[in-house]
Amino acid sequence: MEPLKTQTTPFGDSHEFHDIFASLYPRLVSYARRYGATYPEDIAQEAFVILMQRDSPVEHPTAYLYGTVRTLSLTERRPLKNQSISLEAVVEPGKGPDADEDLLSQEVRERMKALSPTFRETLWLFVVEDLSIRQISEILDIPEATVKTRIHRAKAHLRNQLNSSGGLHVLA
Amino acid sequence: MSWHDPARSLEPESETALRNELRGLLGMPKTPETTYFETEPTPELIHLADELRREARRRNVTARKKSSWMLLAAALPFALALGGMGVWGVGQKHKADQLALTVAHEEAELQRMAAALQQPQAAPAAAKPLAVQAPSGKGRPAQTLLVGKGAPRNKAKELVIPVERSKESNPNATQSVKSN
Repeated sequence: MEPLKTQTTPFGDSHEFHDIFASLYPRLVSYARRYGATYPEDIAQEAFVILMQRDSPVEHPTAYLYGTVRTLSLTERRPLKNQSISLEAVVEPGKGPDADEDLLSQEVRERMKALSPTFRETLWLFVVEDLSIRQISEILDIPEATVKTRIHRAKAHLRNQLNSSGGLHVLA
Repeated sequence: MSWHDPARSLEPESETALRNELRGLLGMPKTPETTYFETEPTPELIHLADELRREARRRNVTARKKSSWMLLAAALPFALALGGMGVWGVGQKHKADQLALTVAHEEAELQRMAAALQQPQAAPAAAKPLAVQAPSGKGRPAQTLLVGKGAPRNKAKELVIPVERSKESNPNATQSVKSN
């Protein structure tokens, strides 16, 4: 099959598309894995196809891809769990922790684990995935103010955690 | 559609500072030298990206058209049923209007006939009072029953019986006296 290298697409130049695909695809696979998807690669690929299928442009493609991956992962798990998944199970699914192992150190993972799943999810997207508050609000389908509140509460939790364990001295 | 996200590039400094602070709290380097997921586009990834783009295009060509036809086919029976109901409704309304017109016409005719029947009876009645001789009782003068003269037409006819006061003494008006 002939590669579409010289072709200009609605998504820009082919080179640009390849670069962005190469940077986003592994992130989306990892994100799907965090939600316990059985076939995270399929979900990430499906998200790209859904985005490219659209006639109308999307304001934030990255957020759209993340949101689609999240929805598809949760939908994939639904019949397995009889439609009752706790958020804890979603964020810490069977394969989930493996996804973090090669990304974050043991210390960071421990601190993340101490947070509630809601805060952890928001914090992960903000700090690890390096997404903006606006993008996170689109992915989670919540107002930007809620994202900010969650981030600030997560910060307060982390501070308390460090103060109680004397971690602040270690950091200093 | 641009892949470059304006939300990320236009991020305010406060957000960047907050992210750095959180990185510090988590024990991560504040400014990452390399992104965790930074990957060079390998031939496999390029091939996969092109495959996905082809798949999206294929779906756009096939799935969209099919779905519009399916939608049209599904909507057709509903549209027909709705149209049929509309035609039937208009017919029913026309029938009801005609029926109402006939009833109103008949009613008007009946009223006209009733008025025509009342007209000759009312004229002599108004001309002279009807005198009826009532049967005379024992020791009572003959009484004359008078049908109300000049009573309004719409009012019911009244029967007026003239009453004469009794000349006999009222038994309650007498006083009994005990004899010795």
